Amino acid sequence: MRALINGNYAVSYAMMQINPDVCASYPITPQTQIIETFSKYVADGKVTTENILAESEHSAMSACIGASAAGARVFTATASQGLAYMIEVIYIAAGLRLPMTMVVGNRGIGAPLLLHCDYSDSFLARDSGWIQIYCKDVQEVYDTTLMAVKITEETKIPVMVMMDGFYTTHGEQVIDTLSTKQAVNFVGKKPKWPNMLDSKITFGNVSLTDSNIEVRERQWRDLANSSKSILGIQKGFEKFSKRNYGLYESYGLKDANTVFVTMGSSYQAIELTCQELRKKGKKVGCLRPRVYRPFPYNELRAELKGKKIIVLDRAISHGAEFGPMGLEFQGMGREFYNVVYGIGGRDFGLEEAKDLVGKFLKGKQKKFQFYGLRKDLKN
Amino acid sequence: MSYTSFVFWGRGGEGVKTAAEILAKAAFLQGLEVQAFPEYGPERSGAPVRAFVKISKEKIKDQASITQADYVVVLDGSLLSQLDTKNLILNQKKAKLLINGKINPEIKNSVFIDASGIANKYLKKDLPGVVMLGALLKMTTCVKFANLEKAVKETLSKKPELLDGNLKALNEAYTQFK
Repeated sequence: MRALINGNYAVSYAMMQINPDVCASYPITPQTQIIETFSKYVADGKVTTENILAESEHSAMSACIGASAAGARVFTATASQGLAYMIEVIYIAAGLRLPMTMVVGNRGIGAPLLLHCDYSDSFLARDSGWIQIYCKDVQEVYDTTLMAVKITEETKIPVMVMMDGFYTTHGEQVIDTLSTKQAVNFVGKKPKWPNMLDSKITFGNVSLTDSNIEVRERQWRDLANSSKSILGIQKGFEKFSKRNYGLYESYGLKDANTVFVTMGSSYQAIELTCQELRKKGKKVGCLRPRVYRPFPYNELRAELKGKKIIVLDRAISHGAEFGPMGLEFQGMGREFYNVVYGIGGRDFGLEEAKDLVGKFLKGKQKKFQFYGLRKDLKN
Repeated sequence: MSYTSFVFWGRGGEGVKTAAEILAKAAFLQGLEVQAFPEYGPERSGAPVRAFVKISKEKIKDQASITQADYVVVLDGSLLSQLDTKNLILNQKKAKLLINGKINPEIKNSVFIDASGIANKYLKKDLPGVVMLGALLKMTTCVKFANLEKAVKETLSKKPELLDGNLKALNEAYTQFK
């Protein structure tokens, strides 16, 4: 069905269709609307979900862990400081191999206090062992939320679905929703996994020097291999929805000399700019990592071989040579540049994309730079 | 790619976000592609706020905010007597402006309407958003009046105390504004 809906409402609508067993959450801007609307679905009797409004994000994730360990289909959402407060138990969910879906409305982390989009919150959980998928618009968030439920239950790895704070969380866009029957059929019945209520198993065992590295190696391997499940589930989704998702999205890569890499909603501005320049005969292309963990480094290295690549980073790794995305890509391509942009939600639209792409096509640029710093705020 | 772009200006609590949402819904009901999003900050009643709408026949791809708009709708004329917001609002190359307030010949490419007067008459409240939309439809034909009326009904269905007055106010603005 055609709907005019923002990213937050699209997520809670998808979850309403799925009717998960448990939702444990704590509201935080810019994802509060998810919790608000989902709680309304609960109050209106649209779902039978056990809705736990926890006293903190740490407790919310702890409740998700307990529920998933007891065999429940679990959903939550967070952002920014909330994700930071949750981080200890985020690692535990992944280490215990518990299926669950968490949606993040990306917002930077203070101090200074801020509300708007960058990826420093979910990048904090980059190494936790979760699958991480970054979406560019409302349609992709809706679709990915549904796919995430299936991915997490097939892989027994928790899945985090990201959307840009305000751009996507609060941006009303026209999307196609599935009928509830379609959504339920696609996601399917929750598979049974060994749970602490009806199996003689222990969760949270001690694993010291004798076994820890082996447990970790297995966790690392399973996450690396999860891309097969992700691709399979995306194919299954495409069959009836006609919407196709890969591990990454790209434009003009085949014969491009210069490729711009960026995530989330800013990809659209870069893509439109590249399409314009193609008409003028410039061999430019662009690429958007969608599945960030597991990172498809083999595929990307092959795609970018011999090209000049400019990686845009909406996060900072303080003290490092490059930004977090830059560090992923630094060994790829023939020539490598890294640009930090859009921190704290500084707008990056068509004008900025044209300006930035133009600069890199024109002449020499620094290996690493911050884009668009205000000259009147020099300090 | 081409779309018609709108920036709504006003103060927190005046219905800027709602006005943008109603226009977006009207376009949606007409079968058009549309995007609407408010500019968020710490929410304070009375602080200057903006909301954006993009309407097109084709799929709209970029999600960035609008700097050079086709139409700028100012719900609160007092923003133009404040130097910082005045500069921001008037920093436009091609936009036509629709302003709620007294006629000021110094402001180019603009038309003025006493939307607060009409709103107060029917709502007994200074909520000029819907009135402005009625007048806006005299400046652009991208949305039909019937769809705008339907969008007002749908959006305000949860606030019945505002619905009747707003429909009357919408009608007056649309028929009276030249």
